[in-house]
Amino acid sequence: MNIRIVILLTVVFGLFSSALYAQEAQSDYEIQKTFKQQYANYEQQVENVSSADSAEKLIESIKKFDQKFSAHEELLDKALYPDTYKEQMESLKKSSVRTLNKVKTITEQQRQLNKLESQLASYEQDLNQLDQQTDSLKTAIRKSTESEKELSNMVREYRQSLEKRDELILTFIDSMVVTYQNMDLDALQEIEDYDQRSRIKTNDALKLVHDISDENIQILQRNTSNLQLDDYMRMAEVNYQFQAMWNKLGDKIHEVYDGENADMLAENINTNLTDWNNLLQTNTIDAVNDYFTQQGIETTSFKSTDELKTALHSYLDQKIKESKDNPSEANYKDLQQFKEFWDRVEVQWTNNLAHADVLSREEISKLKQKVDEWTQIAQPRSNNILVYLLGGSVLLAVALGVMLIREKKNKKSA
Amino acid sequence: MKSFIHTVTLITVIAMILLAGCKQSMVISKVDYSQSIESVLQPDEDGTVQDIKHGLTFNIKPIQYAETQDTSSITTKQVRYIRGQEGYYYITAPNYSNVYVMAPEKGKLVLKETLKTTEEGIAKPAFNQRMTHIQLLNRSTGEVWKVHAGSIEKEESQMAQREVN
Repeated sequence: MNIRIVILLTVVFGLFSSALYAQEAQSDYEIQKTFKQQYANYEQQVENVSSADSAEKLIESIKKFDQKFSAHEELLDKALYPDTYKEQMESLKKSSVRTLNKVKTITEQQRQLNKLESQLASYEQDLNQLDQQTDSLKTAIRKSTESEKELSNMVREYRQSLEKRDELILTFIDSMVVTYQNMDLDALQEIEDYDQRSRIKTNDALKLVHDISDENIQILQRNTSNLQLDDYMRMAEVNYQFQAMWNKLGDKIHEVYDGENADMLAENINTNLTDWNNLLQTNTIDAVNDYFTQQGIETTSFKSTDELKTALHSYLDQKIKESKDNPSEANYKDLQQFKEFWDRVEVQWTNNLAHADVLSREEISKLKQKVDEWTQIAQPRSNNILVYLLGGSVLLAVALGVMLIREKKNKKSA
Repeated sequence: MKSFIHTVTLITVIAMILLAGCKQSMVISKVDYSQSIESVLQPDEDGTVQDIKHGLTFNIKPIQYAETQDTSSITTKQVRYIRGQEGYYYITAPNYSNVYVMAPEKGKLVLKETLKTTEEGIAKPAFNQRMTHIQLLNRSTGEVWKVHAGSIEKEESQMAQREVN
């Protein structure tokens, strides 16, 4: 039994030794040939790797490959002339690390796209819900025969639902920007080419952008009577953010979308954005008109941005002149009314009016100078008289008090 | 005056002849011809092998004839050669019994030495360039020979292992 084991071990050891020896009996020609073949193979693998895990394994494998052949560096320098072994290994290692980073980026992009996908589904649902709600409210308002108070409540509710819709669009824009702004489309394309994977077909961001722009136009077209300047200023902000997102990321959103009608949708979005701008501008002008009527600011009538500018300038010029020539309580009241409007322009709406192309910042600055001038000239007359009367009364009281004290002192001394 | 011109012309001609006679041919010594890695070539149907990398083309038929005494067809499937430091070409092929040491001359390779390896030939031969000699390796068995332009000597296997390592 023992002899058998010894023989078996001897045979195994002999085979192992001869295999090892035969493995070592490699010619220089074979060493360099093997190196070149394996190097080419690694280069191919680096090109084709598609997941972070396999890229990391490949990097490890390349390290072992380097360890295996570094003993033959001198020989390989000659075989690889004019390149050197070190240069080639460095190049391969750098490529593999670059590939790993690229694959990680792609994985992250895919993760973000998947996340966006679920967000989009939720936005779409919420938007549809809000649109239905506003539509039914609009219909109810149109058909309403209820009391003034009831109608007013419905309009308020309607405006609130539009506000929620705008907030949702802004959230949608944020999600889109986060997902798309750092997206490397070339890297995405490479991995798709390799994997023969189709584009993320369910990603319907482009369609949602299209639908939002379409619905916004409809809102602006059908709701002129129930919306106020506040609503349009908020919409101007949404419009600006939406347009900025589209200008910056439109190409990527278009590229990533894999639906058949991508070109048509993109083209429609561009048209919708132009229409959206024009409608917003027109409706804002009308809303300013309504606001002035409600607040009793009596400018000349205006139907366009140019006419609005002219109306504002001539109103202010007229009021300043009136203030200088014939200062009156009425003029001061007009100033108070206008300042109420102007404070909101300065504090809240400057950017919105500029974005909506209603009043540029320069124009607002020029108007501000006139408002300031009017403010300096116009003084509340009644208030001055009151101050004088109050001052006189105080002085009189003090004089009477002094006289009374003196009289008391004189009586005591007498 | 005429005699003066003749004299000057004569002196000039003689000076030119003397200067031309003094010109020496340039010699560069200590040239290393060694090829770091052997070339492995496949003969075409006429027996011609072409090494584009080293700019060498020759016909294998004379060597095949020396090995097999037959050139009716090309039986050599692969030719392996390496050039040594002194400029000789060491040529062999699978199953050849000899290494042929060839000296390059103008338009030809001239046999300098035929070095016997084994009677049955080496099935998988390979040449390696070493510091002082050419190494012939039997890749099947690991046997190693130390080859010089005029001699061949089988090395001990331990030494072979050390050299390979």
